[in-house]
Amino acid sequence: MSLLTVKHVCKSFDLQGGFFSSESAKLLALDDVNISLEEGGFTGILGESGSGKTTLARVICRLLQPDSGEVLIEGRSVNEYSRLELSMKVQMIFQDPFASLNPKLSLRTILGEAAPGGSLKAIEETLSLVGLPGDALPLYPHHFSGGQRQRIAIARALLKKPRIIIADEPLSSLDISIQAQILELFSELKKSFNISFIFISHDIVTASNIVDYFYVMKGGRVVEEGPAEKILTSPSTDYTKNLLAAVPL
Amino acid sequence: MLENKSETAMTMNILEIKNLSAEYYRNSETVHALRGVSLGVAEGETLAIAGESGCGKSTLAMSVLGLVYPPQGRIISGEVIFGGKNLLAFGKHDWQRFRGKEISIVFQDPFSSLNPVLTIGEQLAETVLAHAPGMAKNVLSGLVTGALDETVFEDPGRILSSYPHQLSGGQRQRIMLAMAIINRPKLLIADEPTTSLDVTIQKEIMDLIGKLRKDLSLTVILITHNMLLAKQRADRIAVMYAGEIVELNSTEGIFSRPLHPYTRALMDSVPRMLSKTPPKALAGQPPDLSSIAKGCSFAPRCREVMDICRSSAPGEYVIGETKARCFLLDPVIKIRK
Amino acid sequence: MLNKIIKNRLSLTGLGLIVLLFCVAVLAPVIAPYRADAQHLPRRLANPGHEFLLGTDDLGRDTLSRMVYGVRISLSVGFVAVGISVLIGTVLGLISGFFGGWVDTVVMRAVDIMLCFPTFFLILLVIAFLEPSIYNVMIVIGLTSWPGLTRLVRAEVLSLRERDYILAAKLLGLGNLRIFFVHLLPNVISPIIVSATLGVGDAILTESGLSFLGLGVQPPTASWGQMLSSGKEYIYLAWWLTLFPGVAILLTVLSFNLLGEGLRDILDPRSNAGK
Repeated sequence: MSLLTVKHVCKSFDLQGGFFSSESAKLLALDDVNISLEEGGFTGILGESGSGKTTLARVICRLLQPDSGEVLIEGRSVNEYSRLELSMKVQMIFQDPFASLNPKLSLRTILGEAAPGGSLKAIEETLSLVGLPGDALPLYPHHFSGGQRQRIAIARALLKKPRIIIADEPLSSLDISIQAQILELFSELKKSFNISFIFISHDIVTASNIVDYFYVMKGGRVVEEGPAEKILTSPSTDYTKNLLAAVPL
Repeated sequence: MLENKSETAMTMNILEIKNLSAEYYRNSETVHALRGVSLGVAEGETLAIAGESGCGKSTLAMSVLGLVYPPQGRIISGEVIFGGKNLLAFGKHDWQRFRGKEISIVFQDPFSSLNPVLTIGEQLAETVLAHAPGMAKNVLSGLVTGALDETVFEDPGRILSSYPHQLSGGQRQRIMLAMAIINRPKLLIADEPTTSLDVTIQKEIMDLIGKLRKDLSLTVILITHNMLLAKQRADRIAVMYAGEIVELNSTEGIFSRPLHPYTRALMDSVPRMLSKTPPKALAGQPPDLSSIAKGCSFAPRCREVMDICRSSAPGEYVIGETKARCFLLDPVIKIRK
Repeated sequence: MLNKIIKNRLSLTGLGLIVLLFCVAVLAPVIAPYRADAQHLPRRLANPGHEFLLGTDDLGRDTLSRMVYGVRISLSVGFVAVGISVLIGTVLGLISGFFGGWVDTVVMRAVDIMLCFPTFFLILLVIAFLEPSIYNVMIVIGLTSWPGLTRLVRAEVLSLRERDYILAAKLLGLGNLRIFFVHLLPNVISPIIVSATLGVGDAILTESGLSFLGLGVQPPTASWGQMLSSGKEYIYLAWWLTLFPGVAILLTVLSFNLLGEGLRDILDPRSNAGK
């Protein structure tokens, strides 16, 4: 049984046609999407903006309800879990490190909300895991750089001890050398923890250094999937080929 | 035949920056954004200024366009010479005539650079009229349509009457390029022009910049944090760190023999295709420029740091057309080591 | 934050005046040369002089003393009324913005209905049914000025609702109550503070108007509006009876407006002033 199964998920959004327009267009964000994640897997979802990858991430965590289809974690539908139970199954790391931390809360409070029982010990251990000093606890988000904030977001996700972590373009807002640092961190986490990852990205090369299996999305559909080497060396769709060709090497 | 090499170089350089230092003010702190930057840009070349956030590359572009002034910032010292004119002596009116006409700039986020309530046609026309008020309507519309043509729009008529929000990110960036070249500038500065765009659109835009460069004999300064993009598109690369140029060389030279440890670390940290492990990351972060420490600004993160690096700041070591700011290039220090 | 207030001249002036007013209110019995209701019948309608610094009214009561005690009325009405409207407005704005759906619809229609009535006339109507008193005035002003704040809070919540850190809070399994008080409220509080500060000035003005019309504070209690009302009959004989209370109202409302504007400059992340 897969850890995570997404079956035939569809989701569309209403677009307003304007004040005097009576028609309302629909944006089909997800069109019959099927993906699965095994235990210990590190799966990538690749696609450009508008391909539906962020919508998919939100549907998996139940931040959005799909129009049809189902999302199963450990065999049970996500709707059967309470908010608290779900929080211990799946966590998310967001793209923009400047928006994912509440600017009014100290690091201690932010991590305290995630740590079991608010345990200071757990917080300090996790902080050192992500490479942040323990004396940073009284500081506020604006004291930290983008890369450091992503580390905080990762620490927050780790404290819940989830089975799955979804990383939604975690590197896109970071500088090149910092991207390498965070990528290294993900690699270490992959080795030392029993957590399965979904790594969403538009950068196929960076993702390929860490991902085992790829789903390629375009316009809300999965157009191609396969092990990382196969996708990189012999992609079958033109879309994937274009993605590969466009990356400066 | 003995040539005075520096004189020849100067007459060919369209832009000459000498020892430029600038600071800006933020939250009652002074950020020393540029610290003695010297750079020459040859006519017709594509020069990349590569570096991460906070290294000063955008401030450098702003200085060249006269956009660093009190109360937000100040140019402390140095010279910026373009086509024989000293830009730092320009007054407000000089700049109004100069910006957008001799030197143009394209920014990272096209959406916030476009006026949401004007059509594309109106904005392009505005750009022309700013420098040629009272131009005849038919000449104006010819120029506008021509600009769209040059930036490879298939249906100029539709685009002209569209509003920015009706266009895609890639289209908007092409409009920005159209606005930048419509007055036939000599120098185009592209400040992270593709960073907020999808990877396939990035290639389109960079191809377009290359095409415009050829068609209009432009000189291009490309500001980017992506070394690989610089490698693909630039003739020469200037690597910046903490407000200084730490290495300047031809693209081929930098990639075959990087001289500065920062350049080497940047290249190591780029992900490679089909590698199963992530690249070796450079630890730490760029320094906070509101307090300048003693010694080389890269010393805290340098893998090849020596004692002298912590106490003195290295000057620029020039080897032919290349220069790098690192004690490792000092023959005397090397011997001692 | 206090540093920023001091640096911004607008808010510093406003704050300074308000602090002064507070001191006057608290120290009224000490500052006022006479009691507010003390009548000096031989000295009715006396000109401002060294015995009665701001003159006396038709019953020989010292204008200065009455004005000093009047500060208490104005400030208490201002703060209580705003307190009530902030409480109602914030709660309604939070739940309406966060939950959306039918809750939002109900609250917004209530706001629309309230905003259809000219506020002042609505207050007049209510007071006309109840008896005019300072307590009724405070409560009624509070109960009629919450719609604007509700809309404001709702708008802020709508924009915050989709922020990543709110989504992260939901993902952490936090309950709605915690999200309201720990995550939403502190980020919504800036516009509330600005609106509340400006609202105090507004409330004071409304109270003055009501008292002027005889529907607010009743004599012999000294309210500036009420002093204006009784003073208007003698406006040619004893100009000081209307001038000084009028100026007092002006300066008080002005100081709250200055502080409010200054706070807006400081707290609004979109504006560049105050940085």
